[in-house]
Amino acid sequence: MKEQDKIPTSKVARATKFLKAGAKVGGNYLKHYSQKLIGDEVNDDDLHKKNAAELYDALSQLKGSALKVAQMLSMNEALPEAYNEQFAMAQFKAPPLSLPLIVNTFRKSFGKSPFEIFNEFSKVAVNAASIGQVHSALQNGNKLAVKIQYPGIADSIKSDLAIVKPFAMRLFNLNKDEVEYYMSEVETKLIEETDYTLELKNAQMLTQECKHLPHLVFPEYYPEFSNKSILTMGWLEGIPLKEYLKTNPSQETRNKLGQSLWDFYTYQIHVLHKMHADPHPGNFVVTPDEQLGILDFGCVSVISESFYHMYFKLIEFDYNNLGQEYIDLLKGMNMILPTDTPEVQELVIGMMTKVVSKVILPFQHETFDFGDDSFFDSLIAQGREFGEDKSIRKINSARGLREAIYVNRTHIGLFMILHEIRANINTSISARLRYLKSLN
Amino acid sequence: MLKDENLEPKYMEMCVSSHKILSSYQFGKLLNRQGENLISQPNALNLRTAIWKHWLEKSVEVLNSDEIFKSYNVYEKLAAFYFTLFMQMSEQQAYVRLLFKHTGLLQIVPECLSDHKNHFMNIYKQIINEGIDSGMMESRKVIDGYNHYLIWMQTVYLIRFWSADKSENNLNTDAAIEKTTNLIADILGRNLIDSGFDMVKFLIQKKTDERTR
Repeated sequence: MKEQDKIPTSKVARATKFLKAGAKVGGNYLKHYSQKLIGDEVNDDDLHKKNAAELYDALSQLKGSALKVAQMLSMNEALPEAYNEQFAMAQFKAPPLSLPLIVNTFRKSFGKSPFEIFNEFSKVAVNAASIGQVHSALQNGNKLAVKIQYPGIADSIKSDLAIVKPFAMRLFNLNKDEVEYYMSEVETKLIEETDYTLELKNAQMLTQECKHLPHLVFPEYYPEFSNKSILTMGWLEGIPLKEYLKTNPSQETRNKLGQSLWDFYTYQIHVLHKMHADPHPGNFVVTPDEQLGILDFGCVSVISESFYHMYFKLIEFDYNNLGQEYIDLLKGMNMILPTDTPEVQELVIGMMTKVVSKVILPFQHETFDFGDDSFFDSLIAQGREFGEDKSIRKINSARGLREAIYVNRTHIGLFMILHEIRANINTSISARLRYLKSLN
Repeated sequence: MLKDENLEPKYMEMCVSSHKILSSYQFGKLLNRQGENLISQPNALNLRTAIWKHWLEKSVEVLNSDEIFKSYNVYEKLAAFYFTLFMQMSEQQAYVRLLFKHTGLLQIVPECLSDHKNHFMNIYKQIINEGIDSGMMESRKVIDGYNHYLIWMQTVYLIRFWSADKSENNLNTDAAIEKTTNLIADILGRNLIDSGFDMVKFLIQKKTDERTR
C-alpha cells in the first residue's frame, strides 16, 4: 500500500484530490477501450479493480468525514482488506488547537478561563479525540478529562459530504435519491456527534442504565463544565485496549473483557434498544484492575421496534430450510424490491442467505470462540466470492433500510474487537439477558 | 443631556437602526428628533475613531492583566489579541458589518480602518519585536515592513470575516483565527525562503571568491 504523506485539508484540495481520481478513472476507461479497439485481450474485471483502487486511494487520502462515510456505506466487507486498517483509523485530522483558542472557548462558554475554573489544567492536549482534543484537569482532587471540539467542525462535515456524494454514487453504483436516502442518515449522525450536549445526555443515560453490568467502568460526567463544544468527564485510568492486548494478557482475562463487551452490547441492543454505535478499539480502555472502561458516546443510535423485530428475526431461521416467511422478511427489509425480476430476486436471496447464515453463527451457539480465524476467514472468502461473481452486477439498485447502516456497523465493529481480544465467550442472547437482568 | 461616553454606543445603535454609517449632520438630526439637547454638533469621524481606540485600548488592557497571556509564545499572543478584540467588539457586529459594506474585498487598507492603522501597527510592533527576540520570527530586513504588512492583512481579513460571521458563537471566526495564525507562523518563522536565500547568498559568495582569487 502506498504510504500517505499528507492530508489535503482545504475543500479545494479535497476536491482536487477527487478530480484527480476522476481523471484517473476516466483515463483507465480510455486505456481500456483503446486497448479493446486495437484488439488487445483485456478483461473488464481488471478495469473495475483499477477504478476501485483509484477511488479508494482518493478516499483514504481524504480521511475525515469522507472516510467515515465510505466506511459506513461500504460496511467494510466491500473494501479491499489492505484498506481496512486505514479505514478503521479514520479520524478528522487537524492541527492541535492553540491554547488561546481553548481559553477563548471557555470564556465564551463559562465566562472564565480553564485555569480559573479548575485547580489545574494541562496547557497541551493529552490526546486527540475524533473531532477535538482532550486536556487533563484537576478539580477538588479528582482528575478530569476535558474534551474540546475543533471550531467549525459541523460546517466542515457538511461540505465534505457534499463532495463525497457524487463519488459515493459512482463507487456504490447508486442514484441520486438512493445516495440521499443513506447520506441523510449518515449526515444526521455525524452532525449529532458534533453536539457534546447530546453526547453528555446519551452518556449519562447509558451509564445509568448499564452501570450494573459486570466488569464495566464508566467515567463520571460533569454537566456544569460541559456544553455544546466542551465535554468534561472523570479521567479513566487505564491502557487503550489495543495497547493492552500487546501485553499478552491471559486467556481468562481476554474472556472476561470480551464477555463484558458482549454483555454491554447485548444489553443495549436487546433491552434498551439504544446503542453506543461506534465500537472501535480506541473507545475502550482497560483499567489497572482489569475492568473495561467505556469512552466516547458521540454516536448513539436508537433502534426502532419494527426494525429490531425484522433484524433479529434473521437469527431464528433454519438456513437449510427456508420458506415464504424468509422471503417476506427480506421484502420488509427492502432487500427484495417490488421491481425485481425473478432472476434478481433469486440472486438477492442467494446472497443474503450465504452472508446471514455465516454472520449469525455466534448468536446460534451457547458459546463462541472469536479467536477462531476460520469464522473471519469464511466471511472474507465470501466477500471475495461475491466480488468475483459477475452475475451480482445485475443487482444494481440500493437495498436495505438505512437503520441497518448503524446496526451493521456496530455488529461488525463488535465482532472485530472480540476477534482482536481473541475472546471465547457465552453468546446466547436469551441466557445472557436472563443473567444481566437478574443483576439489576 | 447625553453624556460624551454615551455618544459612542448611541452612534453605533443609530447607524445600525438606519442601516448606514451616519454623517455628523445625520446623527445630530436624529438625536435632535429624539429630543436630546445637544450643546454642539457631534463629530461622526471623531466618534468612529474613539470607538476603535476604545476597543483596542480595552483589548490591550485585558491582555496585559491576564496572567496566562504572559506565558504565551508570540503567535499565541497574536491569536489571543484577536480573540480578545472580538470579545470587546462582540455587541457591535452589525455596526462593523456596516463599516465594511462598501469596502472592496481586495482593498488592503479599507477606508473604515485607515485612520486606525497606526494604532494596530503599534500593537504588532510589540509582538514582532518579541518574536524576533525569541527567534520565532525572522528579521527580514530586505523586505521592510514585511511582517507588519502580513499581520495587517490578517487583521483586515479577520475583522471583515467576523463582521459577516453568522455561525453560532462565531465559531467560524475562531477557526479563521487559528488557521490564519498558523499560516502567519509558517510565513514569518524561519522557512524555505530563508534557507533558499541563504543558499543563494552562499553560491554568489563562492562565485565571487573564485573570481577574485
